[in-house]
Amino acid sequence: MHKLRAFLFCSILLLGLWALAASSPEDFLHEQKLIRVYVDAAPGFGHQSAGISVMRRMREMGFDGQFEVVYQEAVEAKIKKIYPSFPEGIEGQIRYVGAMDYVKNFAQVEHVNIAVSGADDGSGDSFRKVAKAYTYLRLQPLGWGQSAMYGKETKVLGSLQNLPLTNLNSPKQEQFKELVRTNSDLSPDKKEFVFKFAELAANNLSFPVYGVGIQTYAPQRMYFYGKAVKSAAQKINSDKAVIVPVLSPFNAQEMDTMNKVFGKTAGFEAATAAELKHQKQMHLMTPAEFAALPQVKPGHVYFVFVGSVPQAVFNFFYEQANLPVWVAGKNAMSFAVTKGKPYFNTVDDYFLPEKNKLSAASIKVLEKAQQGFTAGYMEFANQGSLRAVTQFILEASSPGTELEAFFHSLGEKMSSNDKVREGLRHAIDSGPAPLCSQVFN
Amino acid sequence: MKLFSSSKYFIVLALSPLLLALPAHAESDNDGFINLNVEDTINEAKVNHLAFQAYDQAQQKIIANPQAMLEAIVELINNPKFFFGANELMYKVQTQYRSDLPAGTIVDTVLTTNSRGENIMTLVMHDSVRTNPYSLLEAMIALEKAVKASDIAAVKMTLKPGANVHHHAENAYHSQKFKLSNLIHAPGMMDVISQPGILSLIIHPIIEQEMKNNARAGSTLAQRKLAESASYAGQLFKVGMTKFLPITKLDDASKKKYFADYAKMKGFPVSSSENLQEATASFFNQSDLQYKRNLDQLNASAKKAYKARRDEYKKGAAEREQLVQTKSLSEMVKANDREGVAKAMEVMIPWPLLEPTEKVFWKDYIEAVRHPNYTNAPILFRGLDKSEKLQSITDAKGNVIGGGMFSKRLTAGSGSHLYKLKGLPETFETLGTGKALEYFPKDSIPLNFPHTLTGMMINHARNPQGSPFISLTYELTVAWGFAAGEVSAAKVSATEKQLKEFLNSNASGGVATVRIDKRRLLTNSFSAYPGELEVLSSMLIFPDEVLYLEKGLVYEVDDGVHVPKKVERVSIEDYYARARSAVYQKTGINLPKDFDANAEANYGIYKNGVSELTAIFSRTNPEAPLSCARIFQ
Repeated sequence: MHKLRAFLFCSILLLGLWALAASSPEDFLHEQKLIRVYVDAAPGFGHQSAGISVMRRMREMGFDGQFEVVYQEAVEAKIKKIYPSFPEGIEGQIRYVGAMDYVKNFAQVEHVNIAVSGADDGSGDSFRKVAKAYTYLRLQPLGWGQSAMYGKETKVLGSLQNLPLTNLNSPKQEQFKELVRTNSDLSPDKKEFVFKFAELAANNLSFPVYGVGIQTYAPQRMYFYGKAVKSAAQKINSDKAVIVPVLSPFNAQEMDTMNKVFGKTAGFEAATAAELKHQKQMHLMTPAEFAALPQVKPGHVYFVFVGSVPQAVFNFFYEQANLPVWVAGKNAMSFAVTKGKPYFNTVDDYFLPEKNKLSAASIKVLEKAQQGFTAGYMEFANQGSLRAVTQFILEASSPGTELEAFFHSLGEKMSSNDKVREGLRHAIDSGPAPLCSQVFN
Repeated sequence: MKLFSSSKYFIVLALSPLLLALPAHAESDNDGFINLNVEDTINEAKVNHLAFQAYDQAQQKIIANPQAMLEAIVELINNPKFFFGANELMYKVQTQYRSDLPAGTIVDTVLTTNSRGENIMTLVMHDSVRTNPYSLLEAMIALEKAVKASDIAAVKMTLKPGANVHHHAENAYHSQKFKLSNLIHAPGMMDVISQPGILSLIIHPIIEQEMKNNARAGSTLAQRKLAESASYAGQLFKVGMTKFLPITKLDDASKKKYFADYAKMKGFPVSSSENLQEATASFFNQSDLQYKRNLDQLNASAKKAYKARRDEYKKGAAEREQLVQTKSLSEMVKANDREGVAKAMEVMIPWPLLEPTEKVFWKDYIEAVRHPNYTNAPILFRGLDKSEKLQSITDAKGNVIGGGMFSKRLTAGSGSHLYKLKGLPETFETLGTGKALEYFPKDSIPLNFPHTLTGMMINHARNPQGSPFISLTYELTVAWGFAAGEVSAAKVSATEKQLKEFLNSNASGGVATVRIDKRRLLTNSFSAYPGELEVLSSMLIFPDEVLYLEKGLVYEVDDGVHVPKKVERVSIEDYYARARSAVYQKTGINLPKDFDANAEANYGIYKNGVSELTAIFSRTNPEAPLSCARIFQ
């Protein structure tokens, strides 16, 4: 019996060796039947979203087998929001296993050639020991810790450091619409909004907002930024409206504060005429309210509180943006950078390699804007920060400026390769499979 | 060896007694908190273990009765076994409960000094804080602002089964971190502290006390900032209500009852027919509206007041210009012309722009320049580095025999010393507001954050660039650390004449022993570097206040090729012996024989700096009643 098990195991490993000897990451993926994906637990949606990105990228690269998603139960609610058909899965495409069940039934867990995680800086260190994979690729979004490969030996993949996690192809409008239409995780009113947004985005200005819902002062910050955007948009093209999908969820109490800050609650209107005008031209809407609008008004800003959306829709909003996008954390930042979008980051973290090659004037515009974005919302009676943020939006969004060219070229450079592809290449190149005897040690 | 890392105000660290078994070379540094060498930390480990016990006792009390958490935390904060060295709080915390606070007031904080000279931050609270969890929540936010209670934590370390410290060093221990905020879910800065920018909404507790005095004395800018801060506390209350342990453990009926009582006390009553959700919405509508209206009104009046102050300051431009064109501060100081210096300062200090506490201090300053009084004046040291611009006085042979000293405000940049004082408004707006710190917006103005003496002192300790203060210290070794001069290799091997030239130059560094009227000093007891025992002298030091000066004590030899070599021409002991003798001859004061003993003897005075400052605060408007006038009856 033992001999039989040893034989079977050796066969699997040899198969693994053969598979890893494939010539390219695409060929390798094409030959896999099952890939294990580990989804870590952490605040926000970054870790979970990174897992989806990796899976989408692998599909694009030719993987047509099944994903087995091993997730930390603590983040079940978040996974439900952004992973397809959770928890039942989709036959032959994706299945979900909670980490506790996974460990409990470890003896029955299938061996795989490759396991992967898009973002893993917590319990993942333990997962590598139970990945049951010839190679476990621990990737990280841009700017996170080191990526690593665990297999016969542990190898830190330093060359992946400055690569984005994934480079996903942008779906064509029609493809995207079909994707939204058939998506069962998106509510009807959100779908309606997405269609309306897709229709209006080309002729208006837009940028998504993500990652402001965790702050005590999120509404004040949005109000401040809204004013800066309004001023810049007026100069970019006064005939256009600005549409802002807000992708952070806000509860009723937070929305109450939001309405007060934007002067939408009676008695909370601004005390000065200039602020009143701003408030009247900035709208807070639900997706359904926006979808029902007969038309958008030039010079007005529409914040549409969409909340959490599937990743394809999230990415769509970012790709459509023609004004600097608002991100929080590194994962969304990585996506923005890869797409060549200028951005502001809630947590004051910016990945801008070669920034010092910009002219002194552009660096000044950039740095003053970043500083203003961070602190300007609490600066009573000081227009300096507002002006700085406005100036950056204006320059970074206007073709032909140094800043616009900088972000564009950064996007081009960053989108030429990614961690998934490069990580797989390392996995394929990593030496021979271990001897059977070592496996059973 | 660094024993403790610090949090903003304090850090708590606790170890298992098992640590006592560590070998002398072993270190334990499981999560960056400690780096202990047993040989010299056995006693520390005992103390740390006691700290953990204290923490654990507080935790058990809170679990048994969450409504009593504030008292348990205050007891813990005041427990001397719980704090360490440099991270010691600058004041003790006391609680006081009253039934006759002004309408709508649940808690106020008042900084005082008791008869034993201890600084006390008193939380004056409404009686309801004892019984009503919503009142308690508001009091906890005040405690958080005063001492950052949400940072309280302890680390318990236990030996892992089968582990051996000789073999496994730090890996032999399992460390368990206990954090009070995880237990009580008090709304702290924790949910926002990591977000840059938000820090400027958090007012340092001493700065807040200063602003309160300024607000009472009529500063609209301070009133505005405090109103903004109150609205911030209101936001924290809103967030905290959903998580705070004493509230979440209640059933809905009790929550509704306590909330209705709280709302009534705050002056925003809710209807008994409303359910809890409706009641909270109604309450916040009323309170938010009041915050907004109050802030709107203060915003408008602060803008007017600020403009009026600037206009008033501009009126003095011609007089300032005339002074700049006709007088030399350097000559007046060298000639010990106190009246001349006092008059010059009267003209150059931007009085209309100053906040009330600043006015009190600078008026005292002028008076002390004019009529010095050396009663109880401390003996302090200053290290003169190679960049010091000593206002030298020389004898007939050209030897430097003394001199006055100028602050960076008077020496940095170009132009005459008095010309540089035209930049004083910017100095106050930079150093006094925190603009010098990286997390504050660079173009912040007093409308956003009024300047304070406290702010200026804190910022000076971090970066004295452009500061009107001169750093002095009770600790000679600290002054010594700043006393190094610099000399080229050629000059060092030079003739006696060249050595004399070097000693006479600014590049030679040195140490001065000084005595200055206390009214011109500010003891920086809440500097981020308390080990420096820093005392700030304002603007300048007259030559007759320098009791002993010796130059070229320590210097670096730099030949431009090799690593600069440090040469100690005079030992610190010899310098102190000579300075001590000079002090005795000139003042009759007999300093301790040993300079360490001298520093130790003055540590208490240094710690008392907060009370000196609160004495200034209280003089902003001595006639005006405190907000809780009968508190200390």
